[in-house]
Amino acid sequence: MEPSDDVQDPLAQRRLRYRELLRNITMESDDTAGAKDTQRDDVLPVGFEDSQGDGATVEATFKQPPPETPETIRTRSWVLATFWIIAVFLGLPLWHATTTIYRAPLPMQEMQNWSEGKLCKTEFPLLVEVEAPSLPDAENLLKTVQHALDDANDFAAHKPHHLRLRLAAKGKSSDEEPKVEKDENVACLLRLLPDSQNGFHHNVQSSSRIVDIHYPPPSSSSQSTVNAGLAKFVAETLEVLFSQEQELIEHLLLPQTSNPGSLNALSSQSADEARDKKAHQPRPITADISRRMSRVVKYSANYHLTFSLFTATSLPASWDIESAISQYLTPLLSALSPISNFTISTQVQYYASISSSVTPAYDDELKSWVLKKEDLSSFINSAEWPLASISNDPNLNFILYIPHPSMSPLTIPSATHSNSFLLPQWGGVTILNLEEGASSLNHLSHPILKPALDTFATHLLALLGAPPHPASLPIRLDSLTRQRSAEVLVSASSTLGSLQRLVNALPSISIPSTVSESVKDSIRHLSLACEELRKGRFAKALEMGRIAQEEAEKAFFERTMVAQVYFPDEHKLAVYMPLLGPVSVPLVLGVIRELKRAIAEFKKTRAK
Amino acid sequence: MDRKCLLVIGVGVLLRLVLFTAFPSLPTILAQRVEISTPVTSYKRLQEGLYLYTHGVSPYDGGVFHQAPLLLSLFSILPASTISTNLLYILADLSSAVSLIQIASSRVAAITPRHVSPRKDNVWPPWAIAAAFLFNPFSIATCIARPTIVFTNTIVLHSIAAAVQGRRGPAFVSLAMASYLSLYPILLFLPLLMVTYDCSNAASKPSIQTFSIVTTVLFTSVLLIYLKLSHILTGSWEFIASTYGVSLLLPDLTPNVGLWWYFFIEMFDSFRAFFLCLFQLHLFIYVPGTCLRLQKQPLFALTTLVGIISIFKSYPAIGDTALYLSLLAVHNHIFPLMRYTFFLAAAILYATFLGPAFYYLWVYAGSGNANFFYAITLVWSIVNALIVADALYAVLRDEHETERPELIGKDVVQI
Repeated sequence: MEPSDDVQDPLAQRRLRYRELLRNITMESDDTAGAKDTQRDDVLPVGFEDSQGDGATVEATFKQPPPETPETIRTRSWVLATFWIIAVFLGLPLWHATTTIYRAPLPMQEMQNWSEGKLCKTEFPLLVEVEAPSLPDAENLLKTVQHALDDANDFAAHKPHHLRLRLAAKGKSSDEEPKVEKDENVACLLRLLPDSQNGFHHNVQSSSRIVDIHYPPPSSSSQSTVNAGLAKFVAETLEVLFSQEQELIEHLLLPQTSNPGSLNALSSQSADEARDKKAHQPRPITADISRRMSRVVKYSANYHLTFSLFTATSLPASWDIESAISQYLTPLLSALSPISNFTISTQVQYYASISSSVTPAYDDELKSWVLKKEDLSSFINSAEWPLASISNDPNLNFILYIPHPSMSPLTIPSATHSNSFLLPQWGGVTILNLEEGASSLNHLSHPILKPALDTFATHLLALLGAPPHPASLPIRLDSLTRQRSAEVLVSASSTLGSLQRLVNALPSISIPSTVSESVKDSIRHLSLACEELRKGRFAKALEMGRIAQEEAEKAFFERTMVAQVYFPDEHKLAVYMPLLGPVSVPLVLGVIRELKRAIAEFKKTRAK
Repeated sequence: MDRKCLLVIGVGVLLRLVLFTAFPSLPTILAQRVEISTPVTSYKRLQEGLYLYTHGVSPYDGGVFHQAPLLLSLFSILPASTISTNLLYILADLSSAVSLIQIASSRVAAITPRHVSPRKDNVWPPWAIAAAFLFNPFSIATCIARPTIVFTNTIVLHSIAAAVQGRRGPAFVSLAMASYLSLYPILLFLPLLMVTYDCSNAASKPSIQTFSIVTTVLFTSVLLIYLKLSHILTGSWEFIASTYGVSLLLPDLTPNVGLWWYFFIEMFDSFRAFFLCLFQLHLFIYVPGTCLRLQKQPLFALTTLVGIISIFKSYPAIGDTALYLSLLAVHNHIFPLMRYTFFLAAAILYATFLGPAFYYLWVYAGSGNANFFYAITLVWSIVNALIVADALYAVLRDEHETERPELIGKDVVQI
């Protein structure tokens, strides 16, 4: 570099000055001085000390400016050291403490086992009491029936239901059987009654768990054949009684173990098992069951029921809904209370028109306006009808619609006499056509409302998932309890499985301790529920399962967990570098410079 | 204190009185400026806290008030009139001016036991330094807007004035009060200790170790007494979280002239804690280095730290800059060595005028966005940082020239 080129630059000026100085002192040729000069530039700021080669001779004669005092050097080292000490001893721990992702320990293996259904073999032991006051050899009969049932069970391997027969204690009054109603362990009571007229048939009482089985009274000669026939019939009856529930629960439990799509962590062994199970399945899941399942609302501990009266005119102005509900519906609701609780609200809406897309056509044959079948799904005028739920709980709507007199009677094609339809997972609608004379009716009284409310009760049971058979409500409700327990168990287990896979798949998400607690709680309640199931205490099992499900969902939907999901490590660099990069440059350079100086000094002392 | 000093102080006080009385709406207007009032110093929030306090409600309920409880008791014993409040603020500024005169008169800036500046005779007279404070537009605006930073500044200046006179007790009791009021003056403990030690009476001087230990104990116990007093006054410890917690954790992201608000608006939540720690640590990291390097001139180390704090604290305002500039004026003998005085003066004016304009464009006119104001606060911070750096350069040059008198007037190049 020629000095004259850039004299404007102070640096160059300085170089020039020192070059001149050097030239004067060492009396060397221009070229060598220039070469030395460039070499010297690095050391100049430190105080021009130079220990190498001919530099020593330069130092000896070149006293101005003098080298840095040791004190200055020490101060500088200390200043640098304080910055590094603070950065390392305060900064690094703080960095670690504030950015470490907290991952509370989760019982991962256990969660996986639950999701694969390894930990709980869902069983529903059903105790059936048999009362045979007029049968001499009842014990023997029971053995035969039990045998037949067990055989059937063995054939359909892994059937969750185990029917166990027991002879009712003698001496109890057989008509009322209050104990049966109390004791939840007894799924149903069979009463074997001789009936000379009609042969074998069974009769389910609608409000108790008692099933009467009538059989032709045995003639003394053919005792054994009657027994055999009776045993076969009893076994068949029991199969029929619980068949729907069984199918449903199998349907519920099946995806848990056989669908690898929902459980990618499934081992091949259990997949094989599941395939076996499918092969052994005597009946394929019928379309009926999946249709019924699709209607059922998701299980919740609380539901909100909204009863709405929508009338196309201003009349009727009021309805006796409160007393009607308390009279016709409350008994059902209280019977349902071990499974779910219900809150109720009602409303009346005047001049409520059905959706404009729905146009009933007048049918001359029926002398009525008929809704097309495809119109039913859009019957609800969701744009205008105030049906938004105010409650946090799942809402079920029951609508009583009174058409305009000009469009009355309004009927539904191929409907039953109830003139109502069910909207899956949403609610039920009943169209009430008032009598010609009653079209100006101001007030809907009890008796008018009764059929509608009865329909609603049926709808409610269907929406909740109670099996339509057998006719006995207590048995149906028991069945619903079992079905719901299975459902919550499956749902809680699969939620745990999803959480486990999520946590495995995303190592960067944090796991707050609340999640860990919820998971542990959920698992604890799951095993409790499982135990209760095995003991046949289904209501208790449902309660435990419900808690397990709630906790599992709470853990899964923890908000703080997802905050860092989309934050890969490369992005962290982008967060840190803009500030820390520039800040660290002088610190690092300072250290390098100090090290250079220290090495030079060390060499110098060693050379001496 | 000579007549000129009295005259300057008189004019300064009169100017404030006139501003307060001739423009009665001015305090309210200025108090709303984000550049002057911050969430931790705002007079409006003080009034809110005072109202709650006098009505028996915890002043920290509602999360508006973030100032120290002792301020409440001060204002609650004050007669509830605007005039008395204004007089209190004028009095605070007056006291600041007196402290500055004392600091300047002590000549500690240019002459310390281990360093005598070759420019010691070029120092401005004390009245000029008082004038530089009293007629500084930033000081005036701050006084008129009545944020409580005024008291912190006064107390810091009083503390320094006591320190340069070697009066350890008053110095550290005041510093404890300043730290109590707005937390960050606690960083000035080390340089103030050095100033006090340097200026202590040479005859009865204990060793530096004893001196530091005694001072630390004194400072800590006084600070604890203030905290305990506040506890007694408010009846709970919640004021700690509402005052220092706010300064440390920055829950209120109201814009101000500092660098924090925009940064923490944009910050990812998961890194917030880390960067909060980093920003606070960043303030602290300068303390030992500055004190070590400037150990021969501890008053300048203190001044530099005041400057750094005024840039990097969590809720800075122009009041902080006013304090720094006043202290810098004490070191006026180094001004000739500063390299960028014209540029800095121009840039500070630029930021001062464009700041409110851009804030208006963003908040009121809606034709700008937050980046407008943030850009200006960046400029403001850079200007302040450059002033600090340039002054530091000048002082080091000054120090260097004492060691190497032969280099006076030569260029220094950093390579």
